[in-house]
Amino acid sequence: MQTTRQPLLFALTFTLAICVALYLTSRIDLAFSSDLETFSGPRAYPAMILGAMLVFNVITVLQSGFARQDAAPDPARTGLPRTGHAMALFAVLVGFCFVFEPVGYLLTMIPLLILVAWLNGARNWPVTILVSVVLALTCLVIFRYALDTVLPEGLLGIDAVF
Amino acid sequence: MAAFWDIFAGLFGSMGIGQILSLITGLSVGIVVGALPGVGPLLGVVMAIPFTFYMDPVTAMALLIGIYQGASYGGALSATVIGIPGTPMAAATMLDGHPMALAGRASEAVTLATIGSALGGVLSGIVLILIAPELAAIALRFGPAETACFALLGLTTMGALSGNSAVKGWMMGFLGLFIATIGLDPVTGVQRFTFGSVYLDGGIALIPLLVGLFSISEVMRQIERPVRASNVSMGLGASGRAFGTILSRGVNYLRSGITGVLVGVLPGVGGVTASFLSYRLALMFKKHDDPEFGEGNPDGVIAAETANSAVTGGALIPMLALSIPGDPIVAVLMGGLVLQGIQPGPQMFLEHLGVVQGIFAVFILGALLLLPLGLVFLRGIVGMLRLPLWGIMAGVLMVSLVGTYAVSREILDLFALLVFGMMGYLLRKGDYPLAPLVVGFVLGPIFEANFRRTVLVSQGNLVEYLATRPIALGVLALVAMAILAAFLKPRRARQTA
Repeated sequence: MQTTRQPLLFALTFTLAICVALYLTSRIDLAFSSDLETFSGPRAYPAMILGAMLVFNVITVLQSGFARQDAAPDPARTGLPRTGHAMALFAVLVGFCFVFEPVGYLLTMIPLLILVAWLNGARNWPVTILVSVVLALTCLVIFRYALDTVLPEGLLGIDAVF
Repeated sequence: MAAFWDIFAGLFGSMGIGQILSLITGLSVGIVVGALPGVGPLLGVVMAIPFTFYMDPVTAMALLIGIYQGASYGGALSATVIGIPGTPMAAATMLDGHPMALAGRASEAVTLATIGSALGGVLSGIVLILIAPELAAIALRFGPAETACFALLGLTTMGALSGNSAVKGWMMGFLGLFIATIGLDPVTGVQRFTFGSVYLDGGIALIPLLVGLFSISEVMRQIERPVRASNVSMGLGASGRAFGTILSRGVNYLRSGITGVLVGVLPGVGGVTASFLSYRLALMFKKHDDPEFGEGNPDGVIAAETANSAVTGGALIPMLALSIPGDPIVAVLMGGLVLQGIQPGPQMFLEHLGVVQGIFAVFILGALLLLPLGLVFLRGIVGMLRLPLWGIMAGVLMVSLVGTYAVSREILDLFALLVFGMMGYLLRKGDYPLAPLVVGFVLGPIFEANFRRTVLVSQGNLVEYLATRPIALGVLALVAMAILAAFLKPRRARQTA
């Protein structure tokens, strides 16, 4: 039987993460003496959880190690370009978080919505821009007047109009 | 029984106009998100969570339960009309609903689904009011050992029944327990995994975790693999003929409702199992002059829809009585209560009886309102199936980002949202189920507090102490059976293949 690579890769990544977490658990600074470190201590509980996860992970590694390889490629598996789009969206969202407060809600949200629409297949630009603007303004009004929450005003103070 | 009448008498006293409007909003939103393939009740409830921060507990639960009930029904609309179930639990409804629609009986099929959903919801609401207080009264006598064991049972069954691999499900449940340990230790105040960050001292916030895991990861997943609806027929309306089935097929409604409630009570089993089990039972009692099942038999639609709506009330019973979520959506509802400063579980009947009565009232009223809302707005709801996917996903992303930020106006919440969004996306890639992670996170504080108390009380002799606690032992035996059943099942399936 041949191995399936992806499940094995995930399981091995988890193993690494659990080992790192166990090391961090050992570094938890106890305020009192080590008498606290019975099963009821602040280190012991997360260590037990991680130990259980390690056991489950080893079982998963063994299960994926003995699994049959698929006879035909999975038709639902996406190609690299679409995964790249998802990663691009994530990178844009990270950038969004950095500029959201200094630049402001409207100036950041509208371009983001247009980009998300494009990544999801929107190609009619006037409709896309109109829908993005309407959605962003509707959300702003709901939060400002219904929920009494002010969203970031931004560089141009556009939100001060509302 | 006296408790039932006491609670019933106080039911509608806890409902004001605000709660009713919130319920109607929730039902309407729920029907739409349930009908839209690729969105679903879990995502709908998760997106509504940030908004409940601004509400009182009963209004918040009215919104969330409304979405839960509405979405359980909404999936039947797309399943019947376009042959794509909006929710997994509507897959059984599609077996006969869509053939009925293709035969020109779409209005009858949709009306049957609506009636079934309403009656299933009312029946499960009555059972909820009858059983939950009695079970909670028993559970209040439980000690920390029993509470910890029940939490472990909830985690084990949820993990075993989510996704394709029980081991992966348990792994995710324990990952949720681990994430819940981030922050200050509840007993000693020691910092755990905070890296000196004041933001993390308070622990991981529920909203970024929930919204990130489900909404952000779904938006990313849809970019990779979009779910698109096909053309929609608009010639729909209420069918008077379908109302006659309340009497002529009453036994099916009752049987399916009871099936749904019983399945709903079992943690982790859920609406899909209930609807297919009920469908199978209806098949055994087929009327000989009806069409075959799978070719437009009305009993098929009734059985599936009544059962999957009855699950909603059943799933609330273990949540209210034992602090165990009956399904992932109820785990999110528990999170909603925690946001309100209410610890879900049997102590709610002592400390927050008004909220409990409000939940009961909201549930019954929601089931009753489903009938007029579903029928009156049928065409509009079905018309929404024509909305372009890019518009839906843009809206989901916007609500997720703004809702998360608005709760505490903390930009780090958005970064946490993205971290969990990427985590959810990668876990889905690896075929790891996300629902047990949420259950583990929500149950984490309950399990840790009671587990550590048990260890303290037992003075380190855990085995000897548990030997004196028969209920805890019984629950641990159930946990062991659930684990064994999960391991035996694939082996038996391979042998019979």
